Amino acid sequence: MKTSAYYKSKKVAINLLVHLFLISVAITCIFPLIWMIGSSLKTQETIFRDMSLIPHKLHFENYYLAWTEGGFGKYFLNSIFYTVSVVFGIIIISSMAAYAFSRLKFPGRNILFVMFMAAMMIPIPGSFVPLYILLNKLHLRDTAIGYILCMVNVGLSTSIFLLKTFFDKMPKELEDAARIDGCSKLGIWWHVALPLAKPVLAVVVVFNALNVWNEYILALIIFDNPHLMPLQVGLARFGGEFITRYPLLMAGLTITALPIILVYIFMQKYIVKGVTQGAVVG
Amino acid sequence: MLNASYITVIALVFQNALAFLLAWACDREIRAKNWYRVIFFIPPVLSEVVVGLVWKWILDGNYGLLNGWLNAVGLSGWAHNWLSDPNLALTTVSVVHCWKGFGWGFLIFLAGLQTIPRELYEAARVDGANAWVAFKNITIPMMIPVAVLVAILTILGTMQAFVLIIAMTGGGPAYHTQVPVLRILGSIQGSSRFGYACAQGIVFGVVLIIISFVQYRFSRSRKY
Repeated sequence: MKTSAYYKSKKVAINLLVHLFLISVAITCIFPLIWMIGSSLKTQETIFRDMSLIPHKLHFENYYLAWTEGGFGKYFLNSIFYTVSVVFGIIIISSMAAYAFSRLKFPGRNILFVMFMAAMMIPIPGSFVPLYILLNKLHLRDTAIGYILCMVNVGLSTSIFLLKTFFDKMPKELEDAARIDGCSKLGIWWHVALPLAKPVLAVVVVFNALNVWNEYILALIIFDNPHLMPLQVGLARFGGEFITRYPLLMAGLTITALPIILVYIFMQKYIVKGVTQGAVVG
Repeated sequence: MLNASYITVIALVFQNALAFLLAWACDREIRAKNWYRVIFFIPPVLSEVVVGLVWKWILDGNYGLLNGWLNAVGLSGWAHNWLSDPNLALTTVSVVHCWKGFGWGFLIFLAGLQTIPRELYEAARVDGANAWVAFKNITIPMMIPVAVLVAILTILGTMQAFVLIIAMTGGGPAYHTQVPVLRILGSIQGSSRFGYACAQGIVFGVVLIIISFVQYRFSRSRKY
């Protein structure tokens, strides 16, 4: 009896230590965010003295100022516009391409697919100089469409790979049945393949949406016009210009970070799946 | 390049050690482990600009929270100009980079740990192995492939970690946190030397592609 009590208390002690360790790391994960939100509710005068996490008086007007005066409203809408259009483009193109790679026999199929996969390995930092020059020549620099095209291209390879893996495993009988019922190839893609691929599509959507929302470097190179900039560039610009207006900056950061955190919490099942699959792909 | 290597080494060692420890701790039967998993992956989903600017504010030399706390508990000697001291800036940036990155390693390690069959541990216990021996002879050998994968992903990710640096120090003070990608950007925007920037980009791209290729071969040679 004594030994079992001993083992039990030992186990409790170990679990306690483990929890302590995990909780301390978890606090460091969340703390900067709380501090960010706390700081965004202080005024220009109190922010440098007030070290309390949650200030006594909450100044929500910072958000209003950041939205209008700081230009974050504009940046926010731009970001939403880019995210939605890029994700839409990626979904249409990559699902069609993946379906074609998986089902249709056409000359050069393998070479094309390998080219797509090779494109996945080229890092953006290695390619943005030629991209910059190309966009300049096409007069697409500093335009929304140029940025959207680039970002669609960035997300395409991985999405095609994920979807093709799924289509390869999909049973052919379903499509045969549809074909007998008189469905065209496009019809099969739309009525059979896409609905079945919903779980994979969800991973693709969530991942690309996060990616576009957080993208910084391409937007930095492409946009000169502040009216077209997405949030990330807008933030960096604001941080550079109004270096001391911390409450507004923090409000802007919160505006940028909050949608991502919300999406993450609701969609975390798909994100975890994407990470573990994506890690294998690279 | 040297600076990027420095950050990479720090990230490789500390970030992945932390990630592995956390994954190992989360792999056991404990309460609320899904909560931990959700929380640990919050920093990686945030953008580098957001992370950089928030930490810049916390680490601010004059008004930052960290120095404020250090002063409040009487450790004024420990307070530093974290981001403007040439000797410290690079380390500070590296630590923040680790903070942002460990969630990835954590998730992959956790997925790896969960593929180890429980029967192995039970067999070991029947054979009289204690926890440490089981860890040494089962967990570590089974995790080595995953660890290599995480290490390569870390190298790739860290070599390209420049947005964080733009947001936190802009390459300063006096180029002490300069990294390759920042140089390329500087060549375009600062001096418009496109040919030079292109050459830099290609050299850097080739290095990354070689690393990716090793990783690609590696993930091919092994099934998950």
